[in-house]
Amino acid sequence: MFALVLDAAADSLASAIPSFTDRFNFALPLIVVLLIVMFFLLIKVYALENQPHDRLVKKSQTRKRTGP
Amino acid sequence: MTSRAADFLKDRIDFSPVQAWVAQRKIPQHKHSFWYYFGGLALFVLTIQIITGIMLAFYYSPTPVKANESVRYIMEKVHYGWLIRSIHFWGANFLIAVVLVHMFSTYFTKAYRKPREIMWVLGVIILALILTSAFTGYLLPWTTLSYFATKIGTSMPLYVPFVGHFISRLMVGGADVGAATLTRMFTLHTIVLPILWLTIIAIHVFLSQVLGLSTPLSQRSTRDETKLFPNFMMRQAAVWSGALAVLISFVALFPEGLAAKVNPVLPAPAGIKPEWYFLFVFQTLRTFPDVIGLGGITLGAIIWMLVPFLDRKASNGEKSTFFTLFGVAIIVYLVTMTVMAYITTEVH
Repeated sequence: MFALVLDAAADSLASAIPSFTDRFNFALPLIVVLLIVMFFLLIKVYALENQPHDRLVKKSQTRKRTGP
Repeated sequence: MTSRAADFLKDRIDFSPVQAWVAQRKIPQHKHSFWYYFGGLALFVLTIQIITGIMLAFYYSPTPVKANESVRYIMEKVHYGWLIRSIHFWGANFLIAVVLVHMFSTYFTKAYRKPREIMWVLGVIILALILTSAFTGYLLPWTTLSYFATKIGTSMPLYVPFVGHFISRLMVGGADVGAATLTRMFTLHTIVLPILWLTIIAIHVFLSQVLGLSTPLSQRSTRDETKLFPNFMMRQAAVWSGALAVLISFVALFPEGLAAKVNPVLPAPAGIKPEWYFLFVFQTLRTFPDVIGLGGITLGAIIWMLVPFLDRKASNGEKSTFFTLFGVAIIVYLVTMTVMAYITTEVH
């Protein structure tokens, strides 16, 4: 059965690779999403490393004071 | 749901030592920290190779009758088969390029110095195994180019004294490249080599965690550090995301096609060349007599592997200009030979 399918596939002379437009219709959204993820992570780590330490301390103290 | 699953695990397994270890892990921060990302990037690309390789193996048939047809079936009939095969093809090229950058950055920052000598030796072995994986995978589509490239590659051990014929025969599995060679290359590519490099990579990564990342000699005065989790890993994930975008771009722009099935009776076509990462070997053998060329490459690879033990100055924390120049000379040789092979079209 598999051999028959393979023979049929081998007989087909159709191009195995989709057209440039089809390839980019698939690839472009994926590339955009990956670049957004990349910049999101870089911005997130930049924000994490540039957060003033004392602000963090103040926030936690405020939370302690106002908490139940 | 996730927290309930986490609670279930926490009740049964004590993760606190692992959490404490992860929390205290720090990565040195200096002007050469950029190079630290290439090790993780190599692991990421290798993971892509494993996943796409498994997908391809579902449909591939390692016999001379069906090999080329099964790849054609993957390309034409399997949903996104062309994409998976192109990712695997470009992934192999990316992996070798990333591993080379990782190796040379390690070399020039002298990260191989004491106590990381074993990591360097294992790293060179990993590169050799990855190149062997690329070589064994090359025959699998069973095209004219892959057939004759394998014929040349499997004849190279014949120059090795005493054991050359045995090694060549072991690779080919007969008098000439054929069904036995294809089965052997497939077994090596999908079972033997992955087991070997996964084991050695596991030890390599384990040692990098035990010993920590090396700080270049010129940056030893720097005391800046960043947390492994989440800071370094977030940056590493950003690098992975960017690299995957580049890989997908290559796949979309230059998808890997499939040449016709080989006819072993016909002579080798004119102007065949190996892939870019083997061009320096190809050109060396064209420039020098085979025995001297192969002997020189083997000797060079052994010296390269033993560099941490030869470079005493770096181990003592001193500048070792000789070994820096040696590294530059190696790069110049590799680039020159690759460019020379690329621009010439003679038949070997």
